[in-house]
Amino acid sequence: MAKRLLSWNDLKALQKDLIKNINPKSRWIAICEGTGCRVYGCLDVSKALEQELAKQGLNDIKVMHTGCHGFCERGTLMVIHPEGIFYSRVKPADIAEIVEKTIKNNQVIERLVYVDPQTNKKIPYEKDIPFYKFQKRMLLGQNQKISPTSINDYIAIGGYQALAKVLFSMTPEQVISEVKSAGLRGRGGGGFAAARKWESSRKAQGNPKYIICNADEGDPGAYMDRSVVEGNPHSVIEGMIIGAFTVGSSDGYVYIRHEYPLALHHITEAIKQAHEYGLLGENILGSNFSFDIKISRGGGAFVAGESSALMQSIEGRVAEPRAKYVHMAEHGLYNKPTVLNNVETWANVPLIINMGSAAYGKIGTEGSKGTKIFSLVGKINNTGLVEVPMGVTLRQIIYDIGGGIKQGKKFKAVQTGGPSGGVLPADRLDLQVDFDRLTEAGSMMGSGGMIVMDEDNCMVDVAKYFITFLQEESCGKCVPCREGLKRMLEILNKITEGKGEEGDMQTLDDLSLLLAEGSLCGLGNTAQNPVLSTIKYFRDEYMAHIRDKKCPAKVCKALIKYQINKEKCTGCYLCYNNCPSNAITGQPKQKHEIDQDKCVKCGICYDVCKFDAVTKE
Amino acid sequence: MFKVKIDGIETEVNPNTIILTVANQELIDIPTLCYNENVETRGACRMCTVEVEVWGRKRLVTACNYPIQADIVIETQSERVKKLRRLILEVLLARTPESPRIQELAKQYSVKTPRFKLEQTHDNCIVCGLCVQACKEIVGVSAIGLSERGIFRKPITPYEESSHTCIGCGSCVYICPTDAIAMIDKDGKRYFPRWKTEFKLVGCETCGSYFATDAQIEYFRKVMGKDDPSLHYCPNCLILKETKK
Repeated sequence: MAKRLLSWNDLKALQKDLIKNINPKSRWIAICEGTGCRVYGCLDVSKALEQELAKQGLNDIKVMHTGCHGFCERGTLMVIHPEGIFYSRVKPADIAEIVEKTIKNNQVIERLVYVDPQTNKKIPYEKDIPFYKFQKRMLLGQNQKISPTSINDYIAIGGYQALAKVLFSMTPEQVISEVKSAGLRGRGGGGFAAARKWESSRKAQGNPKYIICNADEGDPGAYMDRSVVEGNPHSVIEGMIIGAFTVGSSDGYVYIRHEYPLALHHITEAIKQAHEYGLLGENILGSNFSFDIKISRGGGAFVAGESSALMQSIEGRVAEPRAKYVHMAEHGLYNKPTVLNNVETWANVPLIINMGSAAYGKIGTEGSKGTKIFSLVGKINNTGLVEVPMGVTLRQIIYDIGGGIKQGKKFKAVQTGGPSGGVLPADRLDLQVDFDRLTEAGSMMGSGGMIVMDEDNCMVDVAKYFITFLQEESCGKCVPCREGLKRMLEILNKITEGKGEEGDMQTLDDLSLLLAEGSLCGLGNTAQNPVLSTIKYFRDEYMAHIRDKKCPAKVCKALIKYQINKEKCTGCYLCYNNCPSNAITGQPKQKHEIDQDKCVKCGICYDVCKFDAVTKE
Repeated sequence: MFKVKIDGIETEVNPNTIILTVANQELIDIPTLCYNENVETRGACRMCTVEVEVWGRKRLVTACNYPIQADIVIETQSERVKKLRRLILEVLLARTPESPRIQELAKQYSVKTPRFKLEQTHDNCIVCGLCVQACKEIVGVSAIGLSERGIFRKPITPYEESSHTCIGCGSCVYICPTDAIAMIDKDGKRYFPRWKTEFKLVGCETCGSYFATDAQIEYFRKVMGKDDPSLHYCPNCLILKETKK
């Protein structure tokens, strides 16, 4: 059992003690053990590394089992310090060589070094890799320095100092004013000013007051919050305690989706450790302030991430949004004043206190301060989590950090903000990414999903994908969202099947209005964005489907046809053997032919043909 | 007190007065489907949407649950409101083309044939949830609930089997705005096809006419904690008995 910390001095002394034996020049190894790298088998790599080190008697070399580093595309990731040598796609079989060459003899192993896909240059050090070099990793950077299950690691890098500073040298009003001048806006979607919520909740009547951390991240392809909770749970807890002190709350909840087992495990462990040190519970750090955090697990419904639905879920009811004419800050959980912010917002709070609002406010744009983590996925070379200052352009994110489009294809659009956001085309690549500019352009920041699409993506199909998702995830409470999305999807299906009619565009427009103006909650109010933004920037593509019955990107099955070019076909039988519907005929030494009646348009023949003889029209 | 101007009529109200209450006082008709004053307001059907201007900002809100917290101008029939109501009715009519209530409202708002495929389910349910609320909040048995989500959301008994907690009172039937729940009294029995639940009817000890189900009598006896004349006689005979005394 750890010794309770009874004062700021106790915390300072502990930190001093933890870092006194650390030599900045000593060798240590960070292995990413986030969910992404676990899928690549990082736990086997770690085990092999520890065994090898023990075998060689290198027991003084520390192996840090960290959370997500962000460069998920290249897992398992390993960084060897103090030089910062970066190895990716590491397998257990590489370990013996790594220990022998790099750890014992300071040699870089060429084949494990990252090769920049744009220049084909080998880059041995993490700091030089474009994916990292162009980021500003204020939050994610901490992930690489600590083990998420060790509170001591967090305290060693200065963790809980912001809390102590707040408890012993600031008033709640000063904290609010600090967060306000820092310009912190909620990272969960709407971008509402955090300090304003805190302030109204502080002023509101009611006891107890609640603090909630929304870790119910539900956008397809987005996992920023998961990685923060997994990799640095104490930063979220510290932010929540500061928030609680500010509004005068004694009870907090972390609402986390049940599909995030590792994040759930780490936050549970972190709360336990914070308790043991007296950083949670009664009289935190010996002060008069008491606060505790409970965990509430969500079943994984998208709508449960909506604040009022989330609170219903914590109360043990079905996650259904309710009208917010009376603010949550005054009547939230159990009808008491409640402040709800998402993971990333809470994690930013200790940073603001430590840096000071002046320094924090220098990062970002006029209306959006600080950094934002995006999950960069889709047809992009460097898939992963990127943290950038607000105001960088989409082009910088996609090309400088993301390394451009896969297989040298042409960029077509980027979808930001998840299902409630929209797509932005190539001529918006120089748009500065912040809350207001994304909204002006017809998309939104959302929680930070960024899905990159290339020339092979059909925009009607993309809209259909998101509307399908939303239709399945709509709670079904209000008529516009429940019935409107169903009809929207029917029309999109019709269009992609080549049965679109001239009037469909007007109907989509009307249904968008129904959703935007009529829906009860924010999810319904923004559900039309995928359709509206694709119509706004890619109207021609809709018209090609409707008028010409053609899918320009050759995605919509009903509108394409596979054929065999007789001049190129060698009669090799490869397509014949792979066709799942026996639609291809062939005789020895004869050209193949596709029976259109039998063809299911799976595209396998197109993919397997070695002579480019299969065409898609 | 806040100043209210609703469709041009000026009045004053106490803080947190609901728009629908003001409208009723001023005899202004706002269409509602999922609203019932006896249960908690859900604001699900959105039919009562009106346009308001507060602090110089115009927005659409639902009249059934919007509490007035500042001076306000309310338009219950603005073009923006009517357009939204027409769209709501168009999707509702496509869902329940046979519902007389929806047909009537559609006619009132000049909504003719919806542009969408008309559902052929012969079910008039619009999933407003009032039946579930009445069963829980008024009757107190929660024999039905809303299951699934999105377009599949629907009121059901647990596992869609005959309910053991239903008392056959028919509150769900009376509260339903679109008459989507049938209650059939026949041959001394009461049957709810939607709930797959059947009850024995109990006759009045004086006149013999059926006035409640056996489960209802049993439930009331339990709730009242004693026997009572109302558990033996139909409401008519009960009144006669009382007056005779």
